[in-house]
Amino acid sequence: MSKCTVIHAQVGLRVSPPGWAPEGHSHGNAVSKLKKSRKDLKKNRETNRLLSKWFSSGFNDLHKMLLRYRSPENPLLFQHYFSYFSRILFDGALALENCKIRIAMRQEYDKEAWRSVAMSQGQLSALIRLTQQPLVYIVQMLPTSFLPQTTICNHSTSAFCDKK
Amino acid sequence: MTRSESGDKSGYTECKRDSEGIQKAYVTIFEDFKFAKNPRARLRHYLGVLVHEMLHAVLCLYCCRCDNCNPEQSLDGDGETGHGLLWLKAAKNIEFFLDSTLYLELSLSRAMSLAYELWESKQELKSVHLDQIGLLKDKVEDLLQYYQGHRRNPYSEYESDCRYLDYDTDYEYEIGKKRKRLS
Repeated sequence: MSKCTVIHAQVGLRVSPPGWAPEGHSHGNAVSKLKKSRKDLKKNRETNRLLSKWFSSGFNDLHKMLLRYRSPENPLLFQHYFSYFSRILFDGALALENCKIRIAMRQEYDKEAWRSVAMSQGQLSALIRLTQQPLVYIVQMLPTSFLPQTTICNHSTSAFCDKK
Repeated sequence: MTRSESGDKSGYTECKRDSEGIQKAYVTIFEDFKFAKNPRARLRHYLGVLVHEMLHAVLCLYCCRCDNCNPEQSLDGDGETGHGLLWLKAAKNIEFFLDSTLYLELSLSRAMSLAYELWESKQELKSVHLDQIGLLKDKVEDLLQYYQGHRRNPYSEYESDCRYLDYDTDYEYEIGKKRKRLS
């Protein structure tokens, strides 16, 4: 039995993953490690429960996507990873409304013939629901804050500051 | 702009205001069939590019670019190409987190990005505290020389791109070994 099959058995998937699923990216390992690293920061059972639930659904969604699309170039796969990374790394700061993702042929560089990633209304609503969940504690857990201090700025003279 | 360690353009992020004046980021990722028969390696490559560009997008949307915070596109801030110390420090932490906690070993092409930044901004490597951003001096120097045209890319060899593959199972590794023998 391959390592991948074992991992998927752990997360309760009935179908074997495609051969190109990222190996070792297992829900069980990640949750236990996160819980362990969280212990020193907060001893909040409810947060642990939410974290575990979120990881469980996040990983399951990704694995389902991997099963559905047989090519890593599929734009929908990118959408799922985008939403996943946005939530886990940037506390949901990026959504497809403010950050569009396009997959392009290298030859099409600087041309307008992009294959844009279109999202249905249902998918968009689901994504908004997901990103609205408070996940600040995940960011707090990281070794140091990802976002640099300059994000907190009260300067009002810059063209970039007026959006704050 | 992401460049893979082989020097190819892999993706880029544009930041511009839409018709309603709202700042938005546009990420483009290029299809890459370097690992034509190894979809797992392709996915890993794409995910590295995706996270690289997402970090640009976050900094572009949420970072202040006023002169006080980011004086004249200095290396301490956003830099000339977007790969200043803000990006490099965050990228280091993200790579560490992905690897150590999610067991997802992705490359955000940090060394290549720093070399690209130094080359574009005409700055020297000694102005950067490499220990802060977890990069090796020799590697960045090699890549910088590649940008300056003094040598070919030392990381374009197939073996360097195979770092993330599973050697015992992948067809590509066999091809890599054959190429090495031939050269």
